[in-house]
Amino acid sequence: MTSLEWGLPVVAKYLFGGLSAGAFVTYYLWQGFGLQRFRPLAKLAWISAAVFGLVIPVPIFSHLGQPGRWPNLLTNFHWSSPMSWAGPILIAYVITVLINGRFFFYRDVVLAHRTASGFRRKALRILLITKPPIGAIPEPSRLGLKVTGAVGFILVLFFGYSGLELGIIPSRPLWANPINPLMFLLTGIISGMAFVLLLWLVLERRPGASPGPAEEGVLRSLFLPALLALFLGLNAISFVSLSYSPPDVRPAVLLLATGELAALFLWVGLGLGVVVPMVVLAANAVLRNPRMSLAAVSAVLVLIGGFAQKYGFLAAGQYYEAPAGETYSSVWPTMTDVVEFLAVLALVYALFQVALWISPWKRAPTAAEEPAPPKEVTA
Amino acid sequence: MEGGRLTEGAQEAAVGWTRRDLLRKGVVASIATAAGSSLLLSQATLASARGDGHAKYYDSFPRHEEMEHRWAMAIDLRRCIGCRGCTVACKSENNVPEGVFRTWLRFEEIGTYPQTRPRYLPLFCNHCDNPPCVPVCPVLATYKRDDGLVLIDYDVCIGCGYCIEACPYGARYLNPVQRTADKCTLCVHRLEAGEEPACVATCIGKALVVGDLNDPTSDVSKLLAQYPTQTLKPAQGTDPMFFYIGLDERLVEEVGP
Repeated sequence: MTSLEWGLPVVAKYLFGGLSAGAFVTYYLWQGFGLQRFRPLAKLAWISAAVFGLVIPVPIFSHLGQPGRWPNLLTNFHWSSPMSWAGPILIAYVITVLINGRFFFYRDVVLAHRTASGFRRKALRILLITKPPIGAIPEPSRLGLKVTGAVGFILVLFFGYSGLELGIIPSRPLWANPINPLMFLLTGIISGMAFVLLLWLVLERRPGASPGPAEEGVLRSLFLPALLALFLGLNAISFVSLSYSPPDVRPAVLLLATGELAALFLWVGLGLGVVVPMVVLAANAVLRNPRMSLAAVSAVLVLIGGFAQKYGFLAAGQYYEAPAGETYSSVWPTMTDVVEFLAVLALVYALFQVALWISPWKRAPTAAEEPAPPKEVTA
Repeated sequence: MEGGRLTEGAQEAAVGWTRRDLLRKGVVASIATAAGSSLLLSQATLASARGDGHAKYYDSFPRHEEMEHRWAMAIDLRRCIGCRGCTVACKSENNVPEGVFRTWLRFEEIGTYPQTRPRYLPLFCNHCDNPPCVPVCPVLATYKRDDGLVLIDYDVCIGCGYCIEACPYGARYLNPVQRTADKCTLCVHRLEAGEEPACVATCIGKALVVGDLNDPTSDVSKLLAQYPTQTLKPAQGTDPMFFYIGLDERLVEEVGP
């Protein structure tokens, strides 16, 4: 009796990778594709992409039997292994995102650096990379911003490697699905977008106040419900194709559909995590007065659902295939795995606190706090 | 606009392109990425496919020595009495830690009560000709030698478990002591010293026979020429080098780890 070979740390790796990718896509929808609706989310989206990007290696290290040998992933590159591609892709992605932030936040960081003191000032100085300007702040390189943004977006598309990792294993019939890379990429983008939305709603909340034009623009966006609908459609295609697969996939499918993992995968993962937020977000978008609370609850459900889908899929795919004559004792994670996962979540929380403290992010002022526009002087 | 909502400046400068420009460039970038992904996917699929193309793929890997032997094992189930001597000998010879096994025995009851018959099935790493564990290893720690043995470089393995997941026979496990993947090596140290693997040497029914398929006079070649044989899970396309004599048809695909 043994615990799952690929358990909670691997789920955490996929989860944080997806959150980072989704946050960057949210940022790029405005910065790259110019969708004004996403402008209020852009700064928090970039910060989320950077923090989650930096956290991705943590669960990987906790999962590896020999974490000290991680440089082998770069020195012994194996082109046919999707896991081998993960090293260069993730490193290139994190570096690109950080450089992109240097262009994106340049003016804000310079202004913040001028007024900051102590550790924050030093941190902002590092973020600036170059010597802070004195006097007028020069415009950052538009080319640099566009190129690093585009490269970051292209690297995000390669995050489907996580689905490819599972999809090329014929010995695990549930995982051996050619649309896995697309589904992993999509669920990652959905989770990241929901996280940014939630973070923005929490940090920008004004108790009792109705949403302003910027908030209403975000709340009226049908982008996230549309992605949820697409993900639901891909799930349907996946399950139809599984019904025509060889019979050895049936135990794993039944485990997800009616077995021990059904409540987690089917009801929490797809029901509460996809169907409910899709309907609520779509309805909220067309309401006369869209509610921030409905959007926040939907975002929480999407995040919980994303985790449940990933864990269920990973656990069911390997449960009946324990190695070397063993049987897996349970489909659920061990206490050690849970404690490690909570520790990583605590680290994420701490990193967010630091990132929000250092970065020149500020809460949007209320209408009352907005400075009055200068009165026109007529002759 | 200062304070809070996005400030003018760098962000404003970013939206210099028109939306149409950006969408056009985005489509081009997406097509390029999709083409790159397809290339990667096709290469990875090739690595797990069967046939000549796959053999050529392996030919590109560095070999440790010229192919003088082609090691294989014949398991004559008519002679197996299920004593588990092979399991014990393997553990002892290779210092296999408690709780994990390189060689194990599966007991199956064939038929419907009261007309049932016991079947013992010794299981090992099959040292496949097309091993699915080799292409997935992210650090080249798992490799296939020219003599057919699939081995692990324990100094390189990072213990990610990818090969464990990829093996359709469940032959690999994470060694709890050395924290790397581990499995049957067909007692390569004994083979190179001209001795039989420990499981073969200890088998009291002489159900296990190891030998060189390139040598037509070897016991294993003679057995394979004399009797019909089966391999486990042939649909996986792994071309195992472990051949079973007298294996019940019902166990060919069903036998898992």
